[in-house]
Parts: sequence; C-alpha cells; structure tokens
Amino acid sequence: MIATLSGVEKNYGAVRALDGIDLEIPEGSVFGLIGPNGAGKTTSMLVISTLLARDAGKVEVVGVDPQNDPKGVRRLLGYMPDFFGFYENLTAREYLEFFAAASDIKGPRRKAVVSDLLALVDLDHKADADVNSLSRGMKQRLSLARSLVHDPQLLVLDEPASGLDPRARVQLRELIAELSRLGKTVIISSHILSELEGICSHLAVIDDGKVKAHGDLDEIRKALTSNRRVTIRMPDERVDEVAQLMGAQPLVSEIDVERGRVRFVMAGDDHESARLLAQVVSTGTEVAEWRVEAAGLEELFLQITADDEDEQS
Amino acid sequence: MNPVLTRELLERFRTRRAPWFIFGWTLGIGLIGYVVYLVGQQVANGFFGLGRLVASGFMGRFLFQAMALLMMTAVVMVVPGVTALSIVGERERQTLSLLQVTQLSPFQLIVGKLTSSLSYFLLLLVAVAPIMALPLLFGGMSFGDVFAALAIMIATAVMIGSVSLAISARARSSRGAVAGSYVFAFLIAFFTIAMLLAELLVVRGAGGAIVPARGREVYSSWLNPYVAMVDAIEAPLALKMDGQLTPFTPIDSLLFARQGISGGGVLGGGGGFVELPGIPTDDGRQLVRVRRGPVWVRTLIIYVAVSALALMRAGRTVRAPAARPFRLKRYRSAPS
Repeated sequence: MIATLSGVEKNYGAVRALDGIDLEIPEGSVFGLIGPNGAGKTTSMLVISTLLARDAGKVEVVGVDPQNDPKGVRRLLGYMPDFFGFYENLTAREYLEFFAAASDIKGPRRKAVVSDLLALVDLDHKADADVNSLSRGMKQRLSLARSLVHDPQLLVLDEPASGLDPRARVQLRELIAELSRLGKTVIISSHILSELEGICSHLAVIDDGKVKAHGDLDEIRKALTSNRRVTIRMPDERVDEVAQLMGAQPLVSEIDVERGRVRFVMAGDDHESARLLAQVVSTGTEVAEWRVEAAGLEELFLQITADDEDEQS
Repeated sequence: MNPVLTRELLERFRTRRAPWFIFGWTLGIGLIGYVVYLVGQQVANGFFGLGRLVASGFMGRFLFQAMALLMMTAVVMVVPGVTALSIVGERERQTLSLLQVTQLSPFQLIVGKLTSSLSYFLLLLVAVAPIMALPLLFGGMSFGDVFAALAIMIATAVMIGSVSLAISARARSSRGAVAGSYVFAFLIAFFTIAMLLAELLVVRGAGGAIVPARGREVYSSWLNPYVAMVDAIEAPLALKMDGQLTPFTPIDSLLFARQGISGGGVLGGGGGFVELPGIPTDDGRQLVRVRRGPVWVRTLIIYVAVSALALMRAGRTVRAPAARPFRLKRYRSAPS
C-alpha cells in the first residue's frame, strides 16, 4: 500500500469533516474518491498531502506519517488542488521552473525537466505564453505538470476535470492513463462520476465523512450489483419463445420484449448468465448478441448511498 | 538564490506600472531635494549669514539631514505597502498551499518574501542614490554618516517588513493586512514621538524640571527610528555639538537633554544643564563625553528581537500542517 488511513477524524469547529475514515490505496492504482460535495474528499486529500493535521487516527503515506515528516512525504507526492493557483506575468515555462526550483531541482536538470513536462502535457508550443492567457484546459494540464516537477510516486488530484469542456476532459483522462502506465499511483476525486468511469482501478465512496464502500472497482461492482441488465439480440420470430423461457427462470425479472430483442434483469453472477445463455442456445435460437451491462459508477454510488439511507431510516 | 525571491523580482518588475513608479519616485525625491536645497540656502545665507566655506559645510549637513529624515519617512510609508500583501496575496491567489507542498521550508518562504520586498525598497534607494549623494559634494558630512543612516534605515525596514509579514500571514484579507501593517509602522514612527513627549512631560525630574541637570533616560526614544538614526549619525562614539539649526536639531536637543548637556536648544533652552568638557574636532565641533549609552544600540537590539519574533510567528503561521495552538491543560477538580 502506498497510503493508508485508519480511523482518521477531522473536525472544523462543530462540523465533523472526517468521521473515522479507513482507506488503503494500493501502489500503482488509479484510486477514485467519489462522493457528493462536502462528503470529505478534499479533507482526506489535504490530510494525505501534508496540508492538514488530523484530529485522530493514523495516516501513512509512502511509509511515513505526514505529520511527523511532511518534507519526506512531499518529496514523493504531487498535489493538484481544485484551483489553478497561477502568478501574474509569468510564462508557462517560468511557472514550472519556479516550482522545480522550489522542489530542489537544480541547474541544467531543471530546464530539462520543465521541457519534458511541457511536452508530456502537450504545452511545448505554449511554453513562452503568459499563464493567464492559456485556456482552462491548458491551465489544468499546466497544473498537472506542476504537480509532476519532482517526479512523485503518488499524485493527488482534487477534482481535476471540474469546469473543463469535453475535449479537455478527454485529454486529461488520457494524461492520467499515461501517468498510470508510467507507474504513478493516482488518487483522484470527483463528484461527477462519469469523469472517473474508465480510468479508476480502485474506488472509495465517501459520504458524510465516512467510507461507504472501498476497494477494487470490479469487486465493488460484483459485490453490489446483484441485479444486472441483460440484452439478447436474436431473429424476431424467436423473441416470444425466449421471453417465455426467461419468464420461467427464478432469477429473472422485469422482462421487456422489443423487435428482435429481449431485455431482462438478472439477479445472479457470471455463472448464472452463462447458464441462461446455454438454455437459450439449446432452443435452437441464433443469438446475435448477449450483453450483460455492468453497473456504472453513478449507479453504484446511488446504490451505496441508498443502502446507507435505508440503514439510517 | 531563494526561488521565491527570484520569482517575486521577475513578477514585480514585469508589471507595466513598475517603471512608472520608479520614475515618479525618483522625480518626487529629486523635487523635494531641490526644495530642501533652496530652504537650506535661505537658512545658510539669509538667516545665519554664514561665510561661503562654512555655508557649504552647513548646506551639506542640512541637505543630508533633511534627505535622511525623508528617506526614513519613505521606509515607514513604503515598506508596509510592499510587504503587507506578500503572504495574504499568496493565500488570495490560492498559491500558498502549492508552495507549502514543495520542499521550501516556512523559513525559506518567509525570508524569500521579506528579501524580495526589501530588494524592491533597496532598488528605490539605489534609484535616488545620486540625489542622496549630492550633500557629499558640499562637505560637512562623511561617508560614515551616510553608512550610519543607511544601517538604521535598513534595520527599520527589516523590522517593519518582518512585522508586516507576520500580519500578512495572519490576515484574512489584503485590506486587513495593509491596514494592520500601516497601523504598526505609524505606531513605531509617529506614536512613539507622542509617547516620548508624554514621557517627558508626565515623568518629571526633581524640582519639576522636564529633564534634571544630570539628564535622564527617555525610554520611549528607544523605539523611535528617527531618534535612532539621528543618534547613530550624530554620536557614533560621543555626541557632536555644532550649535547650528538643522533638520536634526529637535532630536539633537532630546539627545543632549538625555545626556544632561546644556545648549541643546529646544529642550535645554540653555538653563540648568551641566556643561561637560568637550574635545574639539577638525571641523570646529566638539566631541563630548556622554553619561548614557547610545540610543541606536538599544533601538537596534529591540528591532532585531522584534524582527526575529515576527519572522518566527510568520513562519509558524505558514507551516503546514498547521502547528497545534499551545493550550494549557485544563484540570478538573475531582468530584467530591
């Protein structure tokens, strides 16, 4: 684990921002922190990033307690907050050079690092442009480059895609995927769940300062999605017979018949799906498509938070 | 070189208004210098009717003293303005947390901010150096005097700058930081004069005299930068007496009175002070033995201590994660 939080609490006056958070962030993962506004995502990130002291609990980042050795943690951690933080009258290159100097990168190596980073975030053509003249997407990429100047192992990105247009979001996602391929561990937060879809390998759902679900994304999906929607495409004349067959299955519900398609909800795992497919095929039906839809992050989040609301009520 | 200093200088001098400000500043000081010259000329030739050679030395001293007081006033007026925004500005631009997660220590950050603000002020001083150097052409003062004046000005700038930084680190808004810094600078420069007068008038010597014959310590003078500067220029080892009316005369009078020396003018009025034996100097003045140590040394010690405390406070405020506030443990009495 590159970072672990256990029983972490943080209060802002009477407001309890973190209420005994437990997180384990595996090395090399892209770890998504999802939750509504005010759930405790940013506070968790600030605690990990050495910027905020916890009130209780234990935190270890790259094997070090951020409160005991913040400088040691900062050497291995890159932080990108949910705002840009630019200076006036500096070019993109000068901006990165300043942060490289502040990160103890000296002399000719600094220039090389800055040039490489500008190329990585595709801003080499804007190296000598005033930072305030850059588009929002470019500024976001420059911020990401800033958090990478000292080649950290762990990147903490707080709402990196907020306010970006669709093209800039895609570029950012590609960049994060590239960083993951380069071996970086990325912690990324968002309350827009579609932003994290497809880039996260691990996930934690935070609400009311508590972790509601946490772990490998596929495992969470499996654990939480007892009901999966299945779509079968077949010749039109076979639709009624297949619908009847599915209607007789105990784990199938909500059957919906369309032209050349049967849709239903299946309460079962992959084995159950394979068994049903075999039954359909055994009737002599030519199955053109058998699609089992995994739950999206949005669906997962709603299910997790709804379960919690049920428990509370 | 401190990265904060490098970046601040780059940022500060790239603004469009920077060259205009320096131009306006130089022009303003030049004009004031010319007016001081005209006044000095009137005083020297018309009022005293001094001979040319003596008048030249007097003009040199008159111009230098007026310019030294003017530059000290500039320290009080400019330094809070350039330092007050340094930390609160980072917070408002949302760049403070970005700096906090770098390898910069709070001390480096604070020192970078202070040196960049003071470098700007030093540049303003260098810009008017030719005007300040004019009195040297007239004679009547030395490089030592210039050095003493600059040393006290820099000490004052560091102290006001350090306290402004501490205020800036604590402030929630730019306005609060600027207001707090100027209030502090004005308290040190001008309120201490009021304190000084109050101390002289309220705490009286034997027989109701403002200053007894053997002089007395005026504690409020230890805080005032003008008194410290005049003391450093006039009495590096002892007090110089020349009996001429110059811009330093009111403070000279205070310093004479403090030592219990007659002939001080404003405070002494020639009555009741003991004349101490003097040693004549080449320029016709007298070096006199003093009863009390120099004010400027005390001022310097106070300023260094205040600067150190302010910088420590500022460093503690920008430290991340924030230092836990010191609290005394509460002990509850055991239930009976």
